[in-house]
Amino acid sequence: MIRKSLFSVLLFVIAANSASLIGLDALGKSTDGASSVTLGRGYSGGAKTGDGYVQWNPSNLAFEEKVSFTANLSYEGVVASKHGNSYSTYSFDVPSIFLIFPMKSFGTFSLGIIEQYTSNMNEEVSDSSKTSLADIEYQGSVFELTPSYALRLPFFNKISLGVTAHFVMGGNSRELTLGADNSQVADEDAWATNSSKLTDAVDGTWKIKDHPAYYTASAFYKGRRASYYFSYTMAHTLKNELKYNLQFSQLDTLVPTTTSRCIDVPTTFATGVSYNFKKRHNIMADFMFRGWDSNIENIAGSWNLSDTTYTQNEFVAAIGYERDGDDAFYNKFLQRVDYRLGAWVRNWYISNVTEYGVGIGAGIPLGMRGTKVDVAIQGGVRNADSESVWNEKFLGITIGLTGVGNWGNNPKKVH
Amino acid sequence: MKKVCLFLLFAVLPPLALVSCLFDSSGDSLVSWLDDQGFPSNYAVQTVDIDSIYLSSYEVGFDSTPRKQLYQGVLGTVSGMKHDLVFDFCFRDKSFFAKFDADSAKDFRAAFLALYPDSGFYAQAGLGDSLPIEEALTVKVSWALDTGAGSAYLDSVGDIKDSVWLAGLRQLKYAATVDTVMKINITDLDSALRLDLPDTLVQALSKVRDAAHLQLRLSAPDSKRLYRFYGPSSDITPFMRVKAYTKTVVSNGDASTSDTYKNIWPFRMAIVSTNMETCSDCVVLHGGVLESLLVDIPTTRILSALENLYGDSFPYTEGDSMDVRQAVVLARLTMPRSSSTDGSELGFPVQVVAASFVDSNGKDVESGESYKLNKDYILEKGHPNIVFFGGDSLSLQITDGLRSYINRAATGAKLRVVLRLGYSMLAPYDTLYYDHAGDDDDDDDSVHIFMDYLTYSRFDFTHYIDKKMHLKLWLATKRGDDE
Repeated sequence: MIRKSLFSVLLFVIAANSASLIGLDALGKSTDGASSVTLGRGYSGGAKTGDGYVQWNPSNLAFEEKVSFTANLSYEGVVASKHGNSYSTYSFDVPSIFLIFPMKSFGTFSLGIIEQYTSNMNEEVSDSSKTSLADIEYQGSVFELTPSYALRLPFFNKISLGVTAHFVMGGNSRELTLGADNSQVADEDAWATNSSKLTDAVDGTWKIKDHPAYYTASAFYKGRRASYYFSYTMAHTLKNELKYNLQFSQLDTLVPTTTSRCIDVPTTFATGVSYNFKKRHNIMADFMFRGWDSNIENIAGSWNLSDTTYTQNEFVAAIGYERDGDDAFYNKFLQRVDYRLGAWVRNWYISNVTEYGVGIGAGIPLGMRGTKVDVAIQGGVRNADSESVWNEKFLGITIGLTGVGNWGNNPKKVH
Repeated sequence: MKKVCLFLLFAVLPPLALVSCLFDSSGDSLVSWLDDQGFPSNYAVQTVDIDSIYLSSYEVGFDSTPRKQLYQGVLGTVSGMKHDLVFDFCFRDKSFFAKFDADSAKDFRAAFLALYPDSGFYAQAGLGDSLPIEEALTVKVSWALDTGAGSAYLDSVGDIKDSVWLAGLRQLKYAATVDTVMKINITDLDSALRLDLPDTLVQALSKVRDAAHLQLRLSAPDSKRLYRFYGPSSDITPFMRVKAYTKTVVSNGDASTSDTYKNIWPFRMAIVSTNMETCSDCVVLHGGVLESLLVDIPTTRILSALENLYGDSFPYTEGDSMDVRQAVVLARLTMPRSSSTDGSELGFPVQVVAASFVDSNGKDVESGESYKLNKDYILEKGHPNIVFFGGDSLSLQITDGLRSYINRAATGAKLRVVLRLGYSMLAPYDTLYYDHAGDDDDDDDSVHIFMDYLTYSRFDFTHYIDKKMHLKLWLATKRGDDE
C-alpha cells in the first residue's frame, strides 16, 4: 500500500514542475545548496557542527568525524496568484549532493554538487477562448561542483578555516511552443498554418567569465557552548551563452543567433552563531548578505518580454533551534531523533520580492552507525510588489539520505 | 525499521498528499501569467504577397551516368530521351562450350534473350485493356565479350563494384553492333518476348573455352513507345539461352527433337539514358532520369516586402546577423504553365517535386521540400503542384528554402530551388498524398495516389520560365507590440 501511494505521488511529480514562477527569465530561484538539515532549521545553523556541508561555512567541515555521503531531494508545491487568478505547480529538485571525507589532523575534504539557482517550469495550457495552445518549458539550473577543504588550526584547535572552490556548470533553456492565430489572414489562406506549431527556443550554458571558479573562505570558532563563523564569497560574473531560434521541429536547420549575457554576482558575506544552552539543545542565527549593484539582463529576446530584472540587496536572516538526538543506540527511538525548527526572511535578489518561511525537520537514525534520513517540511510566502511578479505561497518537503562509511576509522574490538 | 516506516507514513505522506491535492490549477490563470510576463499564448499569422518575381537564372542539369536497375529495365525512345538496357553476364561451363564449339554444332548454334514485360507496370498503367501491343522493333544489339579461365576469373568480374561498372559503361568499347528485329506481340500481361541474338555474337561465343564476361547492350532508337521489362532481381528474370545443337530422335515413326543448351542469367543491369533533344535554348525537364531544373529566385523584392511589413531593415545585420525575428510558416511560389498533356508518357498528371538549398551546419545542402495540403483547393481543382493537368498555374511550396534564406540573408545566402518531375498521379483530386496499402487479401482497401513506377515524361518550361511569378509568404513574428 505504501509502495503504491509513493508510486502515484512520484508519477505526479514527473508530470509537472516549477519551484517558483519568480525570476525564471533572470536566474531563477536561489537554492543556496540547501539540504534537508538546513531547511529543517530555516536556513540557520552554519555555526553548528556535525550536520554536513553548509554552503556559507565550509570551515565547520573540519569538525566532521565520519566519512559520509548525503543526497537531498526536494519536492515543493507553489501557488502563484495575482489579480484574482491563481496558478499552482510543483517541482522536484536535487538541491545538493555531497561527500565528506575527514582525514583527522590533516583536515577534511569534501566534494559537492550544489544547485545555486533553479528555474524550472513545464506547463501546457489550452486556452478555450482562442482554441490555441501554448506550451512553456523552462529548464535551468546553475549548479556547481564544489570541492572544499577545512582544517582545525594546530594550536588553536577550536578554530578552523575552510575554503570552497565553486566550479560553475549547468545550462538553461526556454521553449515556448505556440499554435497559430489566423485572425489576420483571409479564410482561404488559413489552411497553410494547420498544425504548424512554432517554438521559440532558447538554449544556454553557464560558466564563470574569465575564471574557472570562484571561492568561499570562512573562519569558524567552536566554543563549548557558543560557536561563531564568518565567511566571504568573492564576487564573480556568470556568463550565460544563449542561442535563440524559432523552429517548427527539432529538424529545422535554421542557424540560431548567439549572444551572451553576463550577470555580476556581488560579494557574499555570511555570519552566524550557534548556542548550546542545554545538553543537546541549540539555538542558532545566521545572516547572509549580497549587495547587488547591477541589474540582471533577462533571457528575453522576443515578444513583449522585459529585458531586465531589477535587483535589490539580497539577504537571508534566519533563526533556528535544534535538539540533537541521543547517539546511544539503546535509547528510545524518539530520543535518538534530531528535532529542528526554524524561520527565515529572505530578501530576493529581485527587486521588491521578499520571502518569509518556516521549516520543521527531523533527523531519523537508521541503525547504529550514523546512517540517517533527514526530513524537512518547509513553507512560506513570497510577496512581490510588482506588476509582472505574482505572489507565491509554497510548501514542500525535502528528504536527505546520509550514508556513513567507516573508511579511516579503526574497527572496534569486541571482547 | 518499523518505526521509520510508521514515521514516513504519518509524517511524510500527509504533507506530500497535501501538496498534491490542495493546490488546484487552471489554464486561464497560466495564460494570465504568460501575459503578465509578456509571452503570447499563440502566434499571429500574417501573409505577404510578392508579385512580379522573374527568375534571375535557370539551368537544366542532366546526369547521364548509367543507372543500376535490378527490378525494372526500360528500352526504347520516348519524350526526347533514348533509354538503353545493358545486361552484365558472367558464366563458366567448360564442357558445354566444348560441345558448342564442336564441328557437329556448326549448323545448330543459336542464342536468344528472353525478356518479360513488367506486368505490374502494365496493369497499373491501365494498358491491360489496350492489348495486344504489337511492333516490329528494330533493336541495336551491341556486345563486349571477354574470355578467361577458372573460378578466379568469375570472382574477378564479380568483384567489380557497381559504381565502377556503371562509370565504365560510358567508355566501353563494344565488339560490334548489329541491328536485329524483335517482333513484339504482347497479348497478355504474362507474355514473354524473345530477341534472337545476331549470328556474329553466336560465333563470338564459340570462342569461349571456359569462362566469359559478356556485356550486352540493347538500344531501340526508333521505338514507338518505351517498353518495361523485369530485371535480374525480380521474381521473373530475363535470361539468355545459348543452344549447341538439336538432336532429332525418330521413334515409332514420330520425330522428336531435344536441344542441348545453356541458360545464362544476367547478374546486374543498367539503364543508359541519352538526351535526344535538338533544341538547345529550350528548358525541358525529363522524368525518370537524373535531371533537374535549378532556378535562382531573386530576393530583393522579398526583402523589401518584409521591410514594408515589419518596418525593420532587411537583411538583419545586428550581432551575428542570423535573423530569427520571424519565421516563415509557409512559402508558395506560383508560375504559369500549360494544361496540355503533351509529353506525359502515359497521359497521367505528373507531380513536380521541389527541393531547396538550405544551411546545414555552415554548408548548403539540397533538402526536399515538404508539401502541405490545401484540401479545399485540391477537392475543387486538384493538386496545385502537378503538370499535364487542367489549370494554368503550377504552385510549389518552398518553405524550407525561404526559412533558410531569410535566416541567413545578411551572410550572402541565395534562394535556389531545384525542380524535378516526380511520379504519375492516379488520383489528382484526392486529398491523400500517399499510397495506402490494404490487406493483401482485400486489395479494395488499397488506395494508389501515385504510380509505383517512374514516368519517363517530358515537360517543356520554355514558354513559362521567363514569365512573371508570384510568391506568397505566411509569416509569424516574435516582435512585441512596442516594436
